[in-house]
Amino acid sequence: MNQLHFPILTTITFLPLVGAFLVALINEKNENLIRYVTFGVLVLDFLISLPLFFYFDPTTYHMQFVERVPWIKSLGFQYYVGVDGISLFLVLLTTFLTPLAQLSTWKAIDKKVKLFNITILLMQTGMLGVFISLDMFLFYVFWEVQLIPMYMMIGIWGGPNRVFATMKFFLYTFAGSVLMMVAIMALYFLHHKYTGVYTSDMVQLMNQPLPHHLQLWLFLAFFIAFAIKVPMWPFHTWLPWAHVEAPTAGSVLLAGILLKMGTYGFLRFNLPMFPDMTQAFAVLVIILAIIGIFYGAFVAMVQPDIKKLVAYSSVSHLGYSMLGMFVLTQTGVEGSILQMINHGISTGALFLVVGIVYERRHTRLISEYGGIAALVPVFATFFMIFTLSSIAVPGTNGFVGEFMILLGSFLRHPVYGIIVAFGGIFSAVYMLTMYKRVFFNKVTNPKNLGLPDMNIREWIYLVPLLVFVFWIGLYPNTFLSRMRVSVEHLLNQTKRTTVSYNINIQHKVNQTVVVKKG
Amino acid sequence: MLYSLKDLTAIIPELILTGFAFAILLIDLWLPKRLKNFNGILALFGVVFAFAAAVVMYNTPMDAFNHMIVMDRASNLATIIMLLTAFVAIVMSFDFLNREGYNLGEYYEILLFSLVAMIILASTYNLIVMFIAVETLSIGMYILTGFLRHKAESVEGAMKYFILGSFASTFLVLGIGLFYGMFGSVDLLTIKKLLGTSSEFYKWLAILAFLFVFVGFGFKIAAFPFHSWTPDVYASAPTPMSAFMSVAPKAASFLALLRFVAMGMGPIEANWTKILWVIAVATMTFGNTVALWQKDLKRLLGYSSIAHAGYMLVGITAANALGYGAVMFYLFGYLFMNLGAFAVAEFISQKDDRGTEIENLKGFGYRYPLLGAAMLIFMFCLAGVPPTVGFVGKYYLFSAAVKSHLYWLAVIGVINSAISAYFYLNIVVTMYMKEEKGQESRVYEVFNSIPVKAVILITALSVLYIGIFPSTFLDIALHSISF
Repeated sequence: MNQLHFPILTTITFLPLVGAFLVALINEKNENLIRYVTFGVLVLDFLISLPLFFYFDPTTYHMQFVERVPWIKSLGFQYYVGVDGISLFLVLLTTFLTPLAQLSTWKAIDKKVKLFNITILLMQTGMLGVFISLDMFLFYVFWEVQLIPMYMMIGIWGGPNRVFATMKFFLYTFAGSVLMMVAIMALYFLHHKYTGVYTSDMVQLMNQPLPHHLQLWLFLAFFIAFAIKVPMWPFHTWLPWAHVEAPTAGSVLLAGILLKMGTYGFLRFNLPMFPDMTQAFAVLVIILAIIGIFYGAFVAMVQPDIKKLVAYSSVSHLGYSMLGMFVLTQTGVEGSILQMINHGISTGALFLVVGIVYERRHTRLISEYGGIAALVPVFATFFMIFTLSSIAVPGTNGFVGEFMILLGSFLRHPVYGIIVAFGGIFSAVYMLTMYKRVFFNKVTNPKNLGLPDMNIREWIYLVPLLVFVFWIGLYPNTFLSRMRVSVEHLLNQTKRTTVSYNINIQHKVNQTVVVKKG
Repeated sequence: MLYSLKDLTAIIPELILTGFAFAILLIDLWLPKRLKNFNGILALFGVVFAFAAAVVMYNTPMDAFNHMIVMDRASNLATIIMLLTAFVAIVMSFDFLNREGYNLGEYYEILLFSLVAMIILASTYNLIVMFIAVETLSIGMYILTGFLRHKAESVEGAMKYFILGSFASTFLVLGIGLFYGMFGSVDLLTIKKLLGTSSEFYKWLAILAFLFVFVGFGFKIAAFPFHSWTPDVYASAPTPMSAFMSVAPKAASFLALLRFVAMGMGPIEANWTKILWVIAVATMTFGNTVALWQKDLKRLLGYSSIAHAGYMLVGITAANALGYGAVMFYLFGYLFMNLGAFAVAEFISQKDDRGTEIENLKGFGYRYPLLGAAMLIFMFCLAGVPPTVGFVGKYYLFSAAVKSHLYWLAVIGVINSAISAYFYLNIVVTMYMKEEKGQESRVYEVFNSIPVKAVILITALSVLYIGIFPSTFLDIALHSISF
């Protein structure tokens, strides 16, 4: 279904690519023009993506704004894109966050500006592609493509250990995703075995029942690929490196969007395609998620570097998202998706504000600061609000997401809910301690005395995030109402019983036999 | 046993190339020194005409000289791949030979003659013809490896290649002899027929013979454990020839191997797939692991080509139409990515064909933005990252394995891709992420040849184009193999 009769998804996905070519033509010395053109393209991309929100039909779980063109005909691969209530907001989050991230680089990135802006544009294409693809092959292509710009971004503009961080990031995620490649191939041939049709259409594959032993291996292959990307404990070790070494914009996009690809992958592949294994592994995943929540929080507590602290908090927050997903209740899954968006906004914003102090003082060590609230009151306020949203204070976006996940966990089993409720306390501890040490008491470091407050550009990229902190916090229904039906459908898919499968398969085998005989 | 003139139409490309080779031989005698480039241009024309002939003949399969020469779609496609490789290698050679002071007619003649042998190797069912073709092409390659004869490494490489190559040939001929002894025929189709009805003992003997023949081909395609010449020869041969050798003889040998296993060894398929399984795994893993420690770009590409031979063996091991088609597609894609990477090696090389250390690529990405981007594309392509042809090729090879339920082979293959990403990316790191310590660290100046630059850019674009729109090429590759 494409209610707009206009290839809107293709347009928003490939517009940044066109932008990258435009930027490539501009003279390298003309740095400001490069920045403006990039920003213009990204804002335009955001504006074009808005109709997705307004024309989205919340009453159906079917894919919307669909476009379908044959791609590799002989193998049944298609250029097939569309969104449902699960991917809609991830697409919008991407188009919303990237221009803000780019705006934060105007002073921070002063070498190889042209290459940087090209990189950011290419990354946008890759990220959007992942969220809109409904063909496995296409999905995989975009999944891998977006690795390259992130790799370049950390490796060229990153901190002193960038080469190590960039290699670790790439090899870890690449190793995970090549396993996914084998699983994709296996799905493709299995589908042919049962139906006689070669296709990589994800929507069709979601409805293809598979026997247990095959589900097991496929589930595990996809699980590893996505768990590395999320990252779930114990697959998270690349993340702190990547975050700390990446430039601000890189961290924002990494935390805000790239990590969501992992959680999104679970929703698109693991849950609907391998329902039996989802049920069977749910407890294990929940345990890993809970470990991640606490582990991330504990490690964050002892970080001397603000950015590293925020990076570890990501491990914790995404643990919540994974938990909400695998408790397999309506509230839990909705909360999980909302928490993905929240994490993009809150943690994205936190990385941006950390970037702002770093830009001024070139250090991120908590001990270098202290008492600066008096010097930079506006900045301190912004920082406070994002801190509060990150620790899920009522009225902010984080609260709604965490609360729904808690509620969903309680519904599944009270023990999960009780354990996780404590996680929230720890996140308050590390975030508020950090805030106190940086902003309150007297100014301890004379170097901070001349610290300027926020400038207009910084206002421009922080205010939109602020708006969403409160919008989601106070009126989440705008978002939840658009997910509801899709999540319902997803949960129904995960509840299909094994018995009906065997019958289905047997039925299909019989059918093929009849056809052959006939 | 009568041949007619009509048989000659099946070998038109070979005849064209031979004609041009002889023409160069004669004309070279009268050419003044400053006009020696004319030899190369003549060779280019020969390649272009042969290419046109192969394209025209593409859809008209021919069986000539009593099944000794078969110009079917597969051999035509392999011919096209080899001629494209030769074209690029010749373009890369002009300035190179002038710089090295070896602009001699022999270079092009030998190149063309060995091309003829390769085409014949790719288009025969007859084991004796195969053997003669392998020998002829090898002799050409030995000479070209040692072509820079004042350079000790070059001569040493040629010597190694020659000695090991002769050794491999003896195994090949021994295997052929065994087949002949058993079945009284050197024709693959006959062997297949007789093998199907022969006793268990003969089947075991046939496996032994298969192994001997495989040693011969395994040497040519650089499969483990017959690979040891590859890095030395690639590193010491003149760079355009290293590029040529890494693709063209491989294309010919892979097709011959395909014919040998798919057409002749059908009755013992269950056995040879097991053998190839082990060899494929060992080849991939060895190539990729040893490449991790390489400091020289040409040596690294040598080890990488071993690994890629391993990937292609996965397609043969799968023993299904998808796998065979995937091998052809991969060869076609490999042509562009590997020639491009070798062209970059040539671009940074110095007089006497030295200075191809990876270190010398420091800052390359910024000094030459377009060429740097091209090298970046080649590296990601060789590592198998989309949207490049390297990814699509690997996808088909491994999916052929999955289709034949060789799941572990596919998993080992993709894990190998992940390992290989490390050393390919290391080159990207060197190009973009390592600081150049002032001017003095870079003593060398690059070999600023326009044809080489053109090769780099055109191959990079091809790699992307075929990677994004593989449909047509894939269909051609899949339909080329009809056996």
